[in-house]
Amino acid sequence: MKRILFIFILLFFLIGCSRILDLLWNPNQAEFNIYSQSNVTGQIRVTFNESYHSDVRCYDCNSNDSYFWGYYIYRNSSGPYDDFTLIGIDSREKLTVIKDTYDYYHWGYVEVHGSSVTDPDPNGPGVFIDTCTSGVTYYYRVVVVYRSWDKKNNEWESDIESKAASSWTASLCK
Amino acid sequence: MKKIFIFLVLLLSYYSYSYVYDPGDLINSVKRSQVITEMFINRFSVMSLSIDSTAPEAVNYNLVRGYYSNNFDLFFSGESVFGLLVPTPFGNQEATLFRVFGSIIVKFDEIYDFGLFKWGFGIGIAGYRYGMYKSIDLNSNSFVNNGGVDEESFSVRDYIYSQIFDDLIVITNIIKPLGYFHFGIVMNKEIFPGIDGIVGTKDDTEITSKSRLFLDTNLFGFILSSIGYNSELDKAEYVTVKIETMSILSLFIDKERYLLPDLYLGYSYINPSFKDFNFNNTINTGIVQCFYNFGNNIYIKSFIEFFISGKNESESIFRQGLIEFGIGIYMLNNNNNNFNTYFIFGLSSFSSYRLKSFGSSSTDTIGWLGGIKIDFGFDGNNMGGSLLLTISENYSEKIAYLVESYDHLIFELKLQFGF
Repeated sequence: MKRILFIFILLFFLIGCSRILDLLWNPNQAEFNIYSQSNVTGQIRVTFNESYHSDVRCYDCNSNDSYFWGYYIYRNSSGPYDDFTLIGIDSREKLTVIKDTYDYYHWGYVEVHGSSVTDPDPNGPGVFIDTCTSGVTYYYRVVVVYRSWDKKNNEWESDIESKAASSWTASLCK
Repeated sequence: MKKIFIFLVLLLSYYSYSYVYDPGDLINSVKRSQVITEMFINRFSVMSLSIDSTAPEAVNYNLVRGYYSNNFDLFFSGESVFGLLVPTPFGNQEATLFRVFGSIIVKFDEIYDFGLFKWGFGIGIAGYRYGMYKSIDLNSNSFVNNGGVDEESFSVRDYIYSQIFDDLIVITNIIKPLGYFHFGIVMNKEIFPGIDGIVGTKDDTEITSKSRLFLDTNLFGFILSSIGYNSELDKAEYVTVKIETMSILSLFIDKERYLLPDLYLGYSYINPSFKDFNFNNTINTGIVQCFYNFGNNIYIKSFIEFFISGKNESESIFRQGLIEFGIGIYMLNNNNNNFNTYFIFGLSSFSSYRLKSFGSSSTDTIGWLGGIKIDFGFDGNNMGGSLLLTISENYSEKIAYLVESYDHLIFELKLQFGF
């Protein structure tokens, strides 16, 4: 019992009861920042560090109920507190094993993107280049999305869930 | 940064069409300290005031009051006030005000027997998280190639304005039969989350961080007093003294204590002054508090608070009055187990000049509360808890400590477990 009390007090001083309540109250609170800039006419470049996800499914991974699916990018042109609409998905999933001409096997990627988005470097940090109307300010948010995995049949299910979300960023379209 | 904060709070007052500036109770650390310590005292009372008797009336007395906990008590409370219209740099936004409270208390009554008295010890921690957030909807779009998944809309929360982190740690000495003595420290922290609406990022600003002392005693089970002391200002910011008259009466009449109601008479003082805003709202009041149960089926709770000296907060002599009924339909009630469902109804009145700063045309308001409470006890009713769901509007118990909630519904969930 003394040990429990000691841990109890230690936890309080290290974290604080109100901090623990905060984590319980808002477990999916915004966790990372994104950036945007418009250097080219009619384009806004949205960047974020692709280190805010875990549980990427490998070729024979089958133990999780869900795996990382992608970064969902949302946008509006009215304000950070208004509704946002999905404009693209940055998803690079290790789904298949590709046999090359020398009979070596390596990971392949399936890339899923929105229609108005191109990604110049699929292996680099998260970069979205969005087309925009000059003179309009655009607001962006990013959500880390996980997709359910059917362990029994060893395949993806159709439902997804959000496990973390970024803050917002804004840029005036050049 | 302080100037920015003051500017933001001034913006907050804009929507209230105020002609006398009132910063509200959310950022008032004195009132918050009183709330967190009172919540803690209530939890400790649940662990200490049960009547040790197997008489059916005594069992009912304990069950109705939720007196299951003796050595361990876990408590959680969450409240939300929806639809508060607040100005932001991006126009007026509907925000949600939330309060989340949690406490854990461990208590050992008789660790050592000194002959004349028995010594025990308790330790408790509590946390209160206040703040406002704005929910933002992130909608799916069928035009985006999503790889064949279901279209799913998400929502995120941005914190706006001050975010409050209050913590309390209390050490308790139990000296039977004299009573118990709490010594605690309240830590109040107020953080501005910055434009990104996230707590814990680089643009956060700590607006205030203060510690206060908290002392509380319960002598002989019927003399209760508590004090919140600010060592920086060297003054008591709030004081409450109460006497439970029926416990005294039962010493002189031939009637068991559990057959009598709880009747508290007391005095309360609070000085929640705001140094930055020259806002002074010292309140000296008398209180009459009553609780009575008819078996395990019906209980009545009433509370009256009236001004006795100093600057009145309203034209009326009464600050607040409240009456609340709980009507129980029990499914199981025996010496070993209890399962009871109460339907709760309450009416109140609250009087304060401050209501006018938050949209009221009058200094008085009538409030109401409705809810449902599920009590459960097992293992000889030595273990148990409750689940409480309520909706209220302008209810004096709430609005007296959170005047900003005027004219808004408050949704509350409480969970208790103990043994």
